[in-house]
Amino acid sequence: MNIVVCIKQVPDTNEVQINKETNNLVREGVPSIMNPFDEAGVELSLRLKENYGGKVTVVSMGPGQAEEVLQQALDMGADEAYLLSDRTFAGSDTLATGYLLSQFIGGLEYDLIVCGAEAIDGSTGQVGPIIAENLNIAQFTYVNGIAREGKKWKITRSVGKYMEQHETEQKILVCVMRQSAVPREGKSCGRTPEKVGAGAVEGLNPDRVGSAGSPTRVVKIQMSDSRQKSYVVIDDTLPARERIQMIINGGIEQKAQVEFMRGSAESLAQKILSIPEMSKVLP
Amino acid sequence: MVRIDEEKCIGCGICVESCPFGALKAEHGTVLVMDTCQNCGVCADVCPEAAILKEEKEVDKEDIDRYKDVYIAAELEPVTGRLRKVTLELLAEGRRIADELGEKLRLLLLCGSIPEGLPEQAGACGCDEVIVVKDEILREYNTDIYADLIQKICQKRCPSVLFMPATETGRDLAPRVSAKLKTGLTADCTGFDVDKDRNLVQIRPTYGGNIMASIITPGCRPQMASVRPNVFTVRECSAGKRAQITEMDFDLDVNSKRTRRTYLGENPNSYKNVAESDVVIVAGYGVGSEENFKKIERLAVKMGAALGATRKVVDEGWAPFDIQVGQTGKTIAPDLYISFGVSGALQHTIGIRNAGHVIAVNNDPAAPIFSMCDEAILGECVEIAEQMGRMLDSQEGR
Repeated sequence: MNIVVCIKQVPDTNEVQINKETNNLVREGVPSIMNPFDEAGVELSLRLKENYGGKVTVVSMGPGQAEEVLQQALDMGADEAYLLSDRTFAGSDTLATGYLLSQFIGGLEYDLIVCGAEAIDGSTGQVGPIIAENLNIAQFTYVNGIAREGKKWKITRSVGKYMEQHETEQKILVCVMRQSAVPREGKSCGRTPEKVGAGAVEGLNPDRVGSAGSPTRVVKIQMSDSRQKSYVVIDDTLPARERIQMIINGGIEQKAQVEFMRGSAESLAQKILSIPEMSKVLP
Repeated sequence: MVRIDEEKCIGCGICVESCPFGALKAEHGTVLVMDTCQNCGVCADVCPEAAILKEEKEVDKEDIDRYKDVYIAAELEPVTGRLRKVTLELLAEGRRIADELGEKLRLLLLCGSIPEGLPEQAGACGCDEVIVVKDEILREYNTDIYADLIQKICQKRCPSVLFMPATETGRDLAPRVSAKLKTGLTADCTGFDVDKDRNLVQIRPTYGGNIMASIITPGCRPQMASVRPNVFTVRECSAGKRAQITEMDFDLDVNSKRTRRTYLGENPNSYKNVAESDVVIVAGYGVGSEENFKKIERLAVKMGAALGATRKVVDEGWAPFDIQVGQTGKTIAPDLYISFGVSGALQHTIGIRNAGHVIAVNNDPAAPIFSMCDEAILGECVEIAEQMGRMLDSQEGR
């Protein structure tokens, strides 16, 4: 049984900091990690291999630095790892990324493709289904468990308040949840990832990768304001420098700081229970 | 990616400072563009020497103009077959965009049977037409069959905009459709606008909710976007209006199904649905342990509130992913939100933007949650929750 796992290197968004002066993301010093959903995918694949035999191949698209996460997957026990890396891949959106990965995976032998349900940086969860569509195979998203029975795949997925089970004899792509498996620690191995440039992906249409192959385009970014009815809108026609200055100078509305209620746990509990809005939930 | 004209670049570094993605690096008197560049063009605007060029693609205007109207993909509750509220939320926002474009609003429904009162319900929310494909096979959602039908309808009808719910089902279906149609898809949008070229501007949080990105799809149609439940509010703008129902026929082959659903049941340890409750209690990492998390859970049960958890709590394994609230997880809009030990990181608070009354309990006066709440309770959250529980018990006893 041949399993291909798609993984992504992501900034650890738990650690993302905003530079208070410029209001920009601080990239330096933010650790890069393997997307935790993908890590669960690697673990699940290794367990399938241990139970049923076969080979686990790991693929990633990204800059040269992404070799780190492929090495991690090899150290965990994957057999082969490929890094699709080329200047022309930069700026790919999910459609272009999905195209590139499916084009490469289509040239490999596979029975099962495993992706993380989403990546913690973009959280779109789109690349998996796009790969499945391009390869014309069935997909399952939000997968908690996968087992093999004879020639049959048995899939468990969690859809809101429902749990579902599915089966199929066909090649499939699954997008797995982060809690589907606890990834093992790796121990360093002699294998290393292989780098693959645009020229080495058979039949690749250069117009369908990178910015050129991406229908979506980011036209503006602004710092988030979380719980606000509306986000700050800054006149687009202003030069960017001024727009940025506006954001720095408090263009983002902040709710006025409310006064703290202090006291003993008992008095605070009493205070909470007597907040008028609580009346509708309490007996 | 942007391109640097090295002849013109004077290496002043203004652009490096301005880049919101940290994708520019000063090097050897000029600037290096890294792969993280999103082509947003902020640097091109600030460059005093006009040495930065934004990548622009040509758009086939004639082809784009063939597409018109705003379409919403409806979603039904899998067991009852009723229209899910998110569909009406999308109709409300769809109506606003359709009005800005001066176009029609249409609903796309794949079903086993048409839910009762649909023409009135959709019409009241501003929908002009409901396009229905009705077949016993469609009673159960199947990725292949649904994606294939939506592709065929889009090819026939040429929608300019297609909104899909970012529910588990919508997020399974939408990317598949976008790949079939080779068009762009923006996930989990929180706002929309129309630009001067009549493109749909799709606004979404990214990088753990730290950044809001505005995205357009200038060269492809339909412009696809998904939206989570609770992001928009249902608006009955045209009471008494009845949407026209148009049934479309397609040959559906039950044998074309590549997979079989063998079981559908309620999740055994299912919590109350956090995305659909009027009162939500959220436990954050500040509760300190799984045992303490259970104490917050008991209070939620006592109050009849749904329980939510932050990412850190789910990562620790104290709570299941189903109840995670935030950018990764659910977006909620309860009337009353009470948090215990939630610090208020953006990745969480982006999911509570539309919450009504917010009560925050935390022992750290510097916690960001305090700058966005209505009631700030400074104290030990677990003790307070336990006290509240005891007080509720004694009230009941009386």
